[in-house]
Amino acid sequence: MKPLVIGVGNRWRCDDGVGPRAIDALAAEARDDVELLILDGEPARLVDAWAGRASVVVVDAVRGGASPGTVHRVDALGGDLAVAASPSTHGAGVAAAVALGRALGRLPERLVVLGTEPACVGDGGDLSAPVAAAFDELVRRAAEEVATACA
Amino acid sequence: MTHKARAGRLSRDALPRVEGEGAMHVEIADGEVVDVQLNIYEPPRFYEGFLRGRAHTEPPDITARICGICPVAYQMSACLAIEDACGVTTPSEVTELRRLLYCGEWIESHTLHVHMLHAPDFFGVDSVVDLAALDRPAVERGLELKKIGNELLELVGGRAIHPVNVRIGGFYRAPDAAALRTFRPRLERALELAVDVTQWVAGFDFPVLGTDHELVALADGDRYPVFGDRIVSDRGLDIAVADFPEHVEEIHVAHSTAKHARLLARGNYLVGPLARFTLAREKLGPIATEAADRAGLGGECRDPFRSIVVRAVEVVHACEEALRVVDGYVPFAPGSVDVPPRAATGHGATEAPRGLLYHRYTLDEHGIIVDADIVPPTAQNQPSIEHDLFHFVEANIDLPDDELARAAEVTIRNHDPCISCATHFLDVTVDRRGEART
Repeated sequence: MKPLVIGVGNRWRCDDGVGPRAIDALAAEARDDVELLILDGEPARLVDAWAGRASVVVVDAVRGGASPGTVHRVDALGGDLAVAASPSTHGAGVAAAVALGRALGRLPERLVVLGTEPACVGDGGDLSAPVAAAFDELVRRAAEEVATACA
Repeated sequence: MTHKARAGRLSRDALPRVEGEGAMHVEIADGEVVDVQLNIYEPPRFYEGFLRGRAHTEPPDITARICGICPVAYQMSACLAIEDACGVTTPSEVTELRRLLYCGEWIESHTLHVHMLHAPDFFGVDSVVDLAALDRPAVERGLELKKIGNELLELVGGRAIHPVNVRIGGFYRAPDAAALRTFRPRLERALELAVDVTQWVAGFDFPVLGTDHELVALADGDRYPVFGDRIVSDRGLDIAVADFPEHVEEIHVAHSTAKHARLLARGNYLVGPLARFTLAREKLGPIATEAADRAGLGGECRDPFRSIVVRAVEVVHACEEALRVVDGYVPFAPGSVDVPPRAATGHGATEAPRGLLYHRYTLDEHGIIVDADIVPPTAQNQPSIEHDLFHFVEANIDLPDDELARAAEVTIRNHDPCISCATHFLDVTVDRRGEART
């Protein structure tokens, strides 16, 4: 089974759009060793997408308290993801999906979250300058994760 | 702690498991509840403002963005209102396909609320993740059912969130008969799951909260209401949809960016599953009727805590309806009728999962929108939710603060409020004044 890369986010919310944009960039490489998917981050759909998979990379905006544009890599099965601050359904995302997947026994064998620290997640169709500057590195590291999975 | 005469402030930073963000404030003085407010401080979204100046063809796509859970409701009410303004009646095949799309939304939205938002309350846990640890098969069943609802939305609407196949006059393209026939086994599976869900929720322990809200829903002939041209209540209200503005006033209140609605000369009212069920139980499909009977629901249901059972019954009904529409489906082309613009005002209302959703548009002769009004179910229910909260806190004032705040949250979640629709985040605070707490 090919590795799966899931881009999560909303491309009309500035730096939250890095996930879908990274999928666009990987699709442009026309690789046949990977499956690509864009999702909005709703936990049930994420769990459905990755259940039974060997290797999954999720690309998303990641808040870690670092300077904007910093590329984070998190082993999601290692328990390093913090749940979003908002408890409403609108705050549910990748961390909630990992928790749900764990409770249901529906996690992939390998699950890596890659993402850039956002500067802005408000309205807007463009990445901020620091995230745009880090974008190529983000895509390159996503491709490296796929290569690692295929090795 | 002496409870009867206590006063003070209890606060909780956020109310979880609601669609959107808001806050609740409960004020208690000398051991009595003196004020309750559901504060919606999500920023106003100004949809009615920026619809002005847009073409009459645009509201289905623009207003769908109001909500990711019930976009079909916005699309359907918008279409009906614009078509009403333009004097166009769509053929029955369009109405039936709209009904099929709407069934997908009822299935996914109700199933989301039943399993991920409401059921954890009855197990005393904080989330569906904790619920999965206690009853994993139930959560898996819920996720499977919700997924089928989403698949139906994708099949008819083009995608599950903010469907793209809806236009005024009908659809951009009616689906192939073969595609719907192929989907039939999925609906049969959904029906089977939904019946099991109804039995599951019927076994919960329900607190008692007697309410006496006027219950308001659409009337749709001999059908359980999704569409309908009359708005009726259990107390004799029976008006045309076009008369909604003359009977319902919207009020700005200082503590909410969502307007409150009330019936003129009648007061607070409630829309949603309890209203639909109480007004139209006999119009449910046969399997939904049997599921309601087995779940112990009588001829009416006024207990907001039992709304979870009614939602489950409505999912059974939606599955039955979807199967009926699929079995009678004949593809049609084009997928829509022309809706030439004219200067007029039109009204449309449909039953969103959370209740009656009203749209009004005034067009000029070129079809440009000069005025718009959207009254979502949560805005209509807000005063009744506050009423429930007041009486539930009053009746349970002896509970320790933590328990009281938690129970207060549930009285809000009973109504599945969509705060983003009404204008997101719920902080809970209880002020107790008058005597020092001991």
